[in-house]
Amino acid sequence: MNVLAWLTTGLAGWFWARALLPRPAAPAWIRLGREAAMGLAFGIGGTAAVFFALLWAGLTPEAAAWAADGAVLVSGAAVWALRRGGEIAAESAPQAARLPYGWLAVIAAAACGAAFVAGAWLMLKAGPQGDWDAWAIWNVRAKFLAHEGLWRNAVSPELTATHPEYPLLWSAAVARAWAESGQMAHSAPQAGAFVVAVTLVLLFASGLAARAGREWAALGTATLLMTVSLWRTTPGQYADVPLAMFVLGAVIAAAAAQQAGWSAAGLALSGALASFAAFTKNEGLAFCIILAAALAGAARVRAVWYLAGAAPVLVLTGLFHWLLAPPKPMLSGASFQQLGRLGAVLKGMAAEAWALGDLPAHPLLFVLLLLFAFRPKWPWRPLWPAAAALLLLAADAAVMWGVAADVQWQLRTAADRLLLQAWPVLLLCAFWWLAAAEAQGIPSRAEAPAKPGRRKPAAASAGKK
Amino acid sequence: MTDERKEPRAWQRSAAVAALSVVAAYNAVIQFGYADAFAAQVRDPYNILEMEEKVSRIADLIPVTERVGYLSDVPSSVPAGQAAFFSAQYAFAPRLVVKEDAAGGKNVRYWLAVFSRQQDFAEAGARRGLVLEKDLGGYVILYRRQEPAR
Repeated sequence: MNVLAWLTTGLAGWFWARALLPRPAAPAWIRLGREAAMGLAFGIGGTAAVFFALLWAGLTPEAAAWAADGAVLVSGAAVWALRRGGEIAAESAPQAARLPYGWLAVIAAAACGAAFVAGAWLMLKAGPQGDWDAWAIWNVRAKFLAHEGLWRNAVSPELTATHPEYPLLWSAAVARAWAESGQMAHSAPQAGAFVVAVTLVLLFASGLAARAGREWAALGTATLLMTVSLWRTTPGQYADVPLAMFVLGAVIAAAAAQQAGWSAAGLALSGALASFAAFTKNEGLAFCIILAAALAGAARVRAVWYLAGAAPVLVLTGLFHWLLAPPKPMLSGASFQQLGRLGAVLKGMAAEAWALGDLPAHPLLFVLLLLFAFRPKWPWRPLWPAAAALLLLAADAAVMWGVAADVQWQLRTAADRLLLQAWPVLLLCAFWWLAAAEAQGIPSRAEAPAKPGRRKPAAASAGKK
Repeated sequence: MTDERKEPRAWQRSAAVAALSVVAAYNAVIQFGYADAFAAQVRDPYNILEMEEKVSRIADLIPVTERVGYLSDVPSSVPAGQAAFFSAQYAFAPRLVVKEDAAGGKNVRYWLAVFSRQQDFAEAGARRGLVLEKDLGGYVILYRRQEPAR
């Protein structure tokens, strides 16, 4: 049950994803893959948030866990049933540029995916306790939440270095699995870390495939899996991978909403996923606000639907910070007065960007190479997700500049994970821009002469629906 | 330079995609190798599992609602000292673990001590008014606060 509890969240969340996510004109396997990934992300976040709210309301951990599952599942099924037949169809994306050696990219992505899954599995098995923050912060707080009557220990000021002021979504997700299984086995956080990492990759691949087809998705996924910090952080059982998953999910849902004429349902789904990010880590709260601003600029008044989707868990996050989290001053005016700290932060972030990959396999360098080779013409669309991700990184840099802690220690322990939170979104945007080349003089897949006996390319058939 | 000369060439696109695919697959093999080597060599670098096993032997002694005191001769300013404390907190959860110098530490009944070397553990406890309850091995000791004489 420690493992099964994660998969049941996928079922609970699938109805929500199916009901709210605009459907692209893409082959069924791409639509289903995207709904499955989105359902897992929504289910993990939704059940954890409701579980914590019910604990706070006075339920026992076991009752709260089952009730949270039931609430997300039943409400999702009701929303799906009410909207059935009225699914929102997204406009078809511009046809993707023809990708030479697309078959090679598919083989590479399959090899990278298999190696990543096997590598993550091996490391999780070897270190069931995870890395430092897993046992010092996230999982220890999950133990408090999973014990009847003792959940408030997770926000006790006596925890000092365990950061009782941090939001609790990831700890609640682990505690929910423990409460349902009735035992505190390492397999719950292990399975959670594994499922979340696989969901992140699946979200990325399906989010790209829905716009650009199978071969671009393969190329993008192979590039994503060059990211060293993703390989290292996944077995650490840190909250940064779930945060990256929610951030990516929120962007994909909002981009799908944009394709459907800023669909209210898609924006609400995006808001919900962003609010899960806000209750996972403080960087997620910053992202939730930044994305709201970006969408207000792009979607104007329709962005209110994003706020409506974010409201329930955003209110929970606000109440958590207001009523439960022990006050802890984070920023110091004296730090902001030291311009040398800002220089060190910028230098450290640049160093971490350089450390994204092990040469010659550097995702950033390969993206630059692809941009040079394909030369998508300006303006690149959509720009707002990349702007939101870059603003998140700027906010992270500002916080590292302003905190009282030693800046080198901050960079050494956190900079790679902060970059990981925004990197999948930036990479996805780059591949969206690269693939959108129909009107840019590059022969599209539909225009390319098909070899005799070959099946019609997926993107081409998708575009004709 | 005309616009025409700025148009991407087919061989550049082909080379970029082929290079990326080959390098990505090669990198995946390398990263898997690192993961395999890590799995073979680094099992429990901070002794978290070891502490969990030790604490599991005495967990029944201490109600989950009680605080547990923590003392050590390893300074908490170094990573080893921090790791020892956090491992104790992780193993004892849902009980709160409080350090010796914490405000609420004086009224705590049970104490876990993590020492860095062999010494007279009973004497080390007696200096703090603690009685050795159980030697858990590896210089990890469970103490109980001495009851005041009637």
